[in-house]
Amino acid sequence: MKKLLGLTLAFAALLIMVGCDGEIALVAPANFTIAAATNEVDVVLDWDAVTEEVDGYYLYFNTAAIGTLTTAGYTHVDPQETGTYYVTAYLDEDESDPSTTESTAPIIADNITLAEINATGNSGLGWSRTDGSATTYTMGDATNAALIDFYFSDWAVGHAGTYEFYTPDLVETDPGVTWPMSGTWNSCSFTEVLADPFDDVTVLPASGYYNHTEVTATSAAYGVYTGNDYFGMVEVKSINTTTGQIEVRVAFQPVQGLRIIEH
Amino acid sequence: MRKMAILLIAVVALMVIGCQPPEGMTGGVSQEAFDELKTQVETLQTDLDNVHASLDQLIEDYNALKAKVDKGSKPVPKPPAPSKPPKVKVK
Repeated sequence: MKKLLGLTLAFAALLIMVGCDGEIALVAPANFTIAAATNEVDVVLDWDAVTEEVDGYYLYFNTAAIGTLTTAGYTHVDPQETGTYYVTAYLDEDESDPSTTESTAPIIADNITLAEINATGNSGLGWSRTDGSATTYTMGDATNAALIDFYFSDWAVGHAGTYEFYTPDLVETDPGVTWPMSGTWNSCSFTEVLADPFDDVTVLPASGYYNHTEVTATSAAYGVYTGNDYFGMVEVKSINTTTGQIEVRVAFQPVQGLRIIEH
Repeated sequence: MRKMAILLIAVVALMVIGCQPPEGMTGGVSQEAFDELKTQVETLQTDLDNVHASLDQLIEDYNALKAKVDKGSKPVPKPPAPSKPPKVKVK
């Protein structure tokens, strides 16, 4: 009996030792967020400090570690490129699971047809603030007003004039509008033709945005700044003056206030 | 016979006297009437010059109008496009 008790105690002690020898899982940092700094080119990363004992945090950009930190929060200064970020907590050799992943990669949408406001098709384009997807809308329905970031017009009846991108809040004075219209339209602004082609633009200009800009040539890229502080880019791929339609490719930076558009 | 000669002379004398213009008249027209007539002729001359000038101008206008009408078969130029809104720098 005594022998049995001894064996039992030894087995229990072994179990306890084995159990203690197992890794205590570190808690992944929570509430990981990214945002644009006020200079519009730095990326500000933030998360809740892990309350359990940790030595610090590893910060990853495009799966490569870019920093070892002892406190929560980091600013990625002028990265000039976009990508995904996440953070882990570490203690000695142990590392937690990653936090949620956040991205600065712009959302690209290709082969979108925009019609001059008097031509057949949709003239307005809007980006989803949820997933960055691009959708075209008719300017003839003012209930779309809140969804439209810019529209395409020649500022005349018909579609034989000079094509331009316009801020939607001018549409009610557009001579091409020949139907009753009243809505709360967004504002937007545009650069002139950018010096670099669409695929070579890494950071959009800090200034030089106007309430309308002329669509002059194909393969031309334009920076777009929405009224609620988001940046995007439009490339005019083709212009058809017979149908009054253009084909565009667009990019949208989902992080509010961030001008980096590298893709 | 002698009576006839005297009578003839008397008739000739009366004719000569009767053909003389009254005092202040030249060739049967008074100087005032002549001057007035001259003034009227000069006025008429001026009016005629003015009519000539007006006629020339009328012909010129007609030709210009005709040239425009002759161009009527050509396409009418487009009216100017509505002016675009001012380009405003936002950012």
